[in-house]
Amino acid sequence: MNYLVTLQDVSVTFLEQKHPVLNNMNLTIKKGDKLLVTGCSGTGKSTLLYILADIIPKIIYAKVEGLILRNNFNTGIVMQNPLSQMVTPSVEEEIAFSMENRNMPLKKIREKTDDAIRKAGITGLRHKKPFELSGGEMQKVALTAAIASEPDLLLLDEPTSFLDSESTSNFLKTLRNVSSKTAVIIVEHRINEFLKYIDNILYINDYGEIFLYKDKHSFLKSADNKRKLKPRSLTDKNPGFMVFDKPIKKGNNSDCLISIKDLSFSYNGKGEKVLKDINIKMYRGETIAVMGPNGSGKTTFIENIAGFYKKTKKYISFNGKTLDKLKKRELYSRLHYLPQNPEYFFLYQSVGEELKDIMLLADTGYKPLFDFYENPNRSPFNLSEGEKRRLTLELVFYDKRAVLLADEPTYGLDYDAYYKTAEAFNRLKEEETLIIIVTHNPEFAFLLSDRILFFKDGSIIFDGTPGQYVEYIESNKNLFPGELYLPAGLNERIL
Amino acid sequence: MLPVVSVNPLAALIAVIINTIPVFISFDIYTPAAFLALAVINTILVSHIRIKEFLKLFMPLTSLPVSLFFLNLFFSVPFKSSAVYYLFGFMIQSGILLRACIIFLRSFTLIYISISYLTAVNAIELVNSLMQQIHLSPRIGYSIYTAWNIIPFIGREITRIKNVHLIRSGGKRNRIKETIPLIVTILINSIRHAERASVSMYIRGLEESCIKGRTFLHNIKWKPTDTIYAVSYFCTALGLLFIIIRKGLFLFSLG
Repeated sequence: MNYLVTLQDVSVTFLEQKHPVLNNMNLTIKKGDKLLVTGCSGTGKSTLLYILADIIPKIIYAKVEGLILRNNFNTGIVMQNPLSQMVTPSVEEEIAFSMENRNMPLKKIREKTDDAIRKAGITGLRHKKPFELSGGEMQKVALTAAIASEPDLLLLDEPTSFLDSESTSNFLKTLRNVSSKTAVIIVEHRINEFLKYIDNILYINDYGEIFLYKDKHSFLKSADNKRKLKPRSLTDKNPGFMVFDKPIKKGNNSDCLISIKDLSFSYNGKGEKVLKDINIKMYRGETIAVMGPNGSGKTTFIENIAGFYKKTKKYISFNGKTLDKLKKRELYSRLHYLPQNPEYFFLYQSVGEELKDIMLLADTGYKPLFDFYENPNRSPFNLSEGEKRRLTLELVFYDKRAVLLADEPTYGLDYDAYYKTAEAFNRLKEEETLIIIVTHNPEFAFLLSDRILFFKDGSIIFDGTPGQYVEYIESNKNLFPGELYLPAGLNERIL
Repeated sequence: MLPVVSVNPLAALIAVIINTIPVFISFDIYTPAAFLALAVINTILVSHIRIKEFLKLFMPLTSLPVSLFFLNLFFSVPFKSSAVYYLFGFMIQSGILLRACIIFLRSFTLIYISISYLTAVNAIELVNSLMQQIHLSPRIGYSIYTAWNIIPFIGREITRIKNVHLIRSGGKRNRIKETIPLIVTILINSIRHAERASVSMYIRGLEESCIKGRTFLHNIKWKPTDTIYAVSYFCTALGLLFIIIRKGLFLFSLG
């Protein structure tokens, strides 16, 4: 009886779906197991976590078939969006929450909370409110809260998808504080980052077939999986990857699409400035990667370019005209914006309605990037995170405009979708579209961009070619550890 | 006397309710005036009000009693027998003037009591106190906190959604057509947020079975001084009401 939970031929079907999300799953989770669950988007990875935690069908209703044997155990969780799981008014109460629920004596709760805060190095955040934290800080607090209660089972649902490289590294350091007795299940697309930490790998393929590798080395040996292990390394398919020093266009004003002069911005007008003295020109046909730590102003920067904020429109010009003098229709017929949260992009109640223009082109030979035709009646809001992202990419690549602003376009994508997306961006480049991509992924930035902007505390501290960027990061290693802000294995590739 | 900040927020809430009831059930000039005076004395002697925050909320809201006063003064149905005066060409009867004053005082007092309470008491502590003292279900208490955590983001997110929708439709504005997807997106995001919070609470052990005897990191105790404060406030209010009734100044009217 040393198992925590055992699944025997378990299938899960959600109400609005004909086919099960999980099909005949057999799995036993024992104390101390460290399992990584990976695979294609929409194959039921998060559903598996919810089954293990007894959330399905207790909190979220779904038809569950098969046998689930469960011992009494405590569970901790870290979700994709950490703000969603914060239910208390302060960081220390968040950390104490599980212990409070278990009716632990107050003295013990205080000791454990102090200990967890000290070990995680978040003493400065102790009395902060959840909404005062950055994304990275929130995720760290969520993990600290999960660890502090010493759970028997810890569930991590794509915990680093919103984090920059530095925050991801900090998150992994905090993960080492988990007791060896705790079973940890991690759902992730980023296999490399977690490889050192886990023992077993559960892979779910496109067809819902489940492969459990009891030894991670057997997974690594498979040639097909080697490809998956390097999801960000697309060098083989893109020889242009090595060309760093394509010169940045300068001076040719007829090619200048966006020009920003003395732009500073704060959300409430008086508070701390999110953007400080931005001066930059961006040209037709350029692909610009915007990088930098969480909270450095990257998203706010592209939102300002998209004309979200009235008060800064006069500092930004599009085709020589300031945004305050441009009609919305004039600007938005030539500028597209892909938000970080794909749900904000949807206008209709079904996938079919969203894709109706593309579906009409089916006979003309137009090739969609992804396949959504299986069930067009599904609500776009009910798709998995990866599927939602794919749908928005499909729409944005179909509706081509002179400028494309994309905020974290690869988040939540599996290897194949990631590669198709990179290819689609490359095709847009050839069509002289000005592409501005906010990304935490150095490999993706290097793969596509011919110019990199690096943000820190609301200012652009670097603007240059990828080659110059490598030199910059190398010469400022004390500020920006190269392994976090450069693509993995870059040096070997240069050699 | 003790400042409200050191009094249990629930005790302060009891005082507010005690102060509000007589104002609600009376329709004379003396009851609201007397209970406004009591509330002001309570504010001065007992509560540590955040003056700036108080004025920021209170000043705009005072336009409501002032408007009610003038609306009643100039546009009420005239009384059959009442002295008549003229002001700026408007005929004003003494009965109508009295009614306008009563309405002004009642609404002014109610606004004063609520705003002074809101700015004197820490809302987070109030919810905590409700969970600990009157056993409000922690599910409800923590749901309030969860909503609280996302309030600062709501305005910004609505701006984002609106702009993304406008960009996607190529800048073509159609306010009716725009509103539906905006509402749908906001609603779905709210439901999803609530669902995730609910999952988080459940996984982390907040079940009905654990609610009884739950430990709280921030223990808000009901001290003997809170009982003294609530009882003495109740007695003062009761005494005041008794005097007004005995003097024949109280007129009953509900609402």
